Amino acid sequence: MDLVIRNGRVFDPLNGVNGEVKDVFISGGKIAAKAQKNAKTIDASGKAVFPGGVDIHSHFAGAKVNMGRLFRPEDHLGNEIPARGKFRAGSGFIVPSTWATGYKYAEMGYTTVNEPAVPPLTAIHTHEEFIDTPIIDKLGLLLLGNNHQLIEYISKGEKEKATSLIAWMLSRTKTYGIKAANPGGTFAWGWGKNVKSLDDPVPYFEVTPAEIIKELIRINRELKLPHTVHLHTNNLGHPGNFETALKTMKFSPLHITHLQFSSYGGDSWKTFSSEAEKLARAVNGNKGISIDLGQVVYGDVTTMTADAPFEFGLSLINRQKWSNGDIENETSGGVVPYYYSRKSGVNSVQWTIGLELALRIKNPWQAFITTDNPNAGVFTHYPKIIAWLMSKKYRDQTMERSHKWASSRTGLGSLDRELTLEEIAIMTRAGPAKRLGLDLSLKEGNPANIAIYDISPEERDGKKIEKAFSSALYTIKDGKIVVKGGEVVDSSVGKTYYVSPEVTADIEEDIRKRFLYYTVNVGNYGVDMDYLPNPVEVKTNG
Amino acid sequence: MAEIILRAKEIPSTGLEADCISPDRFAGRSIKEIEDSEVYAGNQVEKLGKYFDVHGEKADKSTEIKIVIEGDCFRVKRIGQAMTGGEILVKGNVGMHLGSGMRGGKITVNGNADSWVGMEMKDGSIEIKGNARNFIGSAYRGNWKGMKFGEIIVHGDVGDNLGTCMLGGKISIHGNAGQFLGFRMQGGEIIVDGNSGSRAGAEMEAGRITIKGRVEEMLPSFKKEGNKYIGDLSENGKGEIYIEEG
Repeated sequence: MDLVIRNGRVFDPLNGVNGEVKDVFISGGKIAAKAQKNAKTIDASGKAVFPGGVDIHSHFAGAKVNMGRLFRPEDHLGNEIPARGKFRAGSGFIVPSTWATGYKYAEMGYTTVNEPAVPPLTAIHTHEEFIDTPIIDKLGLLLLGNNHQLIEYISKGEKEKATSLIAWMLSRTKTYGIKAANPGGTFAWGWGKNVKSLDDPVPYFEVTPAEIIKELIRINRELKLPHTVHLHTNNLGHPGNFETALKTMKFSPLHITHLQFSSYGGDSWKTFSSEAEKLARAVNGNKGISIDLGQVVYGDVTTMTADAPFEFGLSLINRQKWSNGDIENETSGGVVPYYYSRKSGVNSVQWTIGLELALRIKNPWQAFITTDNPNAGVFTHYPKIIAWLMSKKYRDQTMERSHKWASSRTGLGSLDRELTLEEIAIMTRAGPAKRLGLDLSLKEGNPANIAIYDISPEERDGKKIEKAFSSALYTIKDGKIVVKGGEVVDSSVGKTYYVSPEVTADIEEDIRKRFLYYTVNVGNYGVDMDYLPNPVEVKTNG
Repeated sequence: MAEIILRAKEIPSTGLEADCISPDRFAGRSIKEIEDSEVYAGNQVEKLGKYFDVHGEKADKSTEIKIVIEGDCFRVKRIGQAMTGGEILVKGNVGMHLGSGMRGGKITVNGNADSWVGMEMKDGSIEIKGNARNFIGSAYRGNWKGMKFGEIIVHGDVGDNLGTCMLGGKISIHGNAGQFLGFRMQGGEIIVDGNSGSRAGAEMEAGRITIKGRVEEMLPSFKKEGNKYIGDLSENGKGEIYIEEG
């Protein structure tokens, strides 16, 4: 059906539209230049019209995510979502079941979500969950920082083969880009070890994390991949790790994900503090770096990451259940529940860091709103984070209820900046989309993914901001109204973005030999096109 | 006290999820409204009135309500879930999750109860005149916080895993208990008048268990001091188990 969205305040940052009152036309699922005959009109006067939300980092599908569901049945009790008409039942608050995940994202006005940690061997599981996650468009980044074959190539200096291996794996798994989680460290975990710094060589191979990162950036450039390398830094989650992050920022271009977890000062949990200011300054001085927050939201979470040694350490701290996954020659992962308490000094400092980063980084095109879902908070908490960023009063209220370290050991209290709706639009859609190499703006001919919120640019009441962004008045996906008044009214199968770069070197024999050490045959490895119900290939070197 | 009587008609053998049967949910509602309360029969939403005849008088506060349930309700689950006050009397048997997450009030069952009685209960009291099955006063699967306050009394025997992850409160069993009594217990007190199955107190960190009869087999990870056992040492625990018959 064709639509006209009348008289809304339109925020389309990529095209320089900042809150102007205008009409948006939709025809055949795309943004159009003018109204079509018989188009249905949506009156958006006094409302804000945004492009659909884009989440650049959210663990929402795949083996590790499913482990998060399986080993926390207590998260499903009391969080049941009954079936409603043609909409499927689900359960879970921290890690909802697949169908519920799609509905919840759509209800918040999000239409594109990036799964940032796809182990190559289990990519098929990720794609299977993509199929069952309705409405939203999906893409996945492949875990490549700890691949045995790749590290062998890097240690022998076989650059062309390394490039081709990554091209082969991306094409084979129908994923979108390169992710590295604790490069070298997760590899060392195979021997029960970890790396401590960028220059600490991995056991049995004379390769350092710095070399792996440099090499991945080179390969990323050579393959002309749409996104930059997406990096989870070494030494993540430990006091004093901001220095590692600072050194890592010397490599660019790079997307450093959930920077909050890498911004810690002090040399123990007792002297723990925020170094967000130093890192924000480094980001401000380096256009090649983008980050996402990994903002902590107080409450219950399930941490899950391919940084398996980190998860082991966390399980020793909070003495709860721990799951470790070994993905053969490629990577590993861990899952541990965690509770962020406002009464805890460390947790309160963690809470301030994400906000400090967002407020101190001057260019919103370099900092995006995430919670590293479900590690620091759940994706359904994004509206709360937006409210903290838009209203000083609101974050001061939370600060007052936090441990005193929140004010004494961080600089958040001194920041008066309140983000505008345009800045929020950049940090939640235009920025991440651009960094992913996707044009999802409201330009004529683009897919009509639109969210309409009941909010005015002057609004500074935290509760109202949170409510407005929690339930979109309308979410329009590919020209179809899927959410109305914060409730899903229609469902669809989203697109899957993928790349298939060209393989130039002869690596067939090497791959054949490598598969002697896999539990699967190379013929059964990877993902067929049958698993992409709605594929969209993005151009690379191929 | 206003009495509301529910007389069971035919309960589906696949079970009924009826967390609406609670003084809090009945407070301020007319008998007609109570009959219209939602229950789940499998994946179907049905009305309470389809399975129960409802009589009695309306009351505004939960503390003024006494619910009397007649007939066999062994397949009716979640009765009194999360209730904060008032009273429930079940004259026959009762199904799973009786009074789970309950915060106050009193539940009495004249017959037997299925598993998960008083799961993660915060306060209040539950008395079962017959037997009860597994996981009484324990944490839900996956959770590590069991019963917090309040009291559970069972006159008959109980099954396995009684008081799993119990944090506080008191459980008294007049009959025998199964295996894994007080598994991962972190506080509170369990008293068993009869015998207990093996692995009592496994992984317990704190709290006290008294067994007046015998234990099938004590774990080796407890330190014996007379008739008192301290452990579980595999968890550096300081829990105490008293066994009167050694």
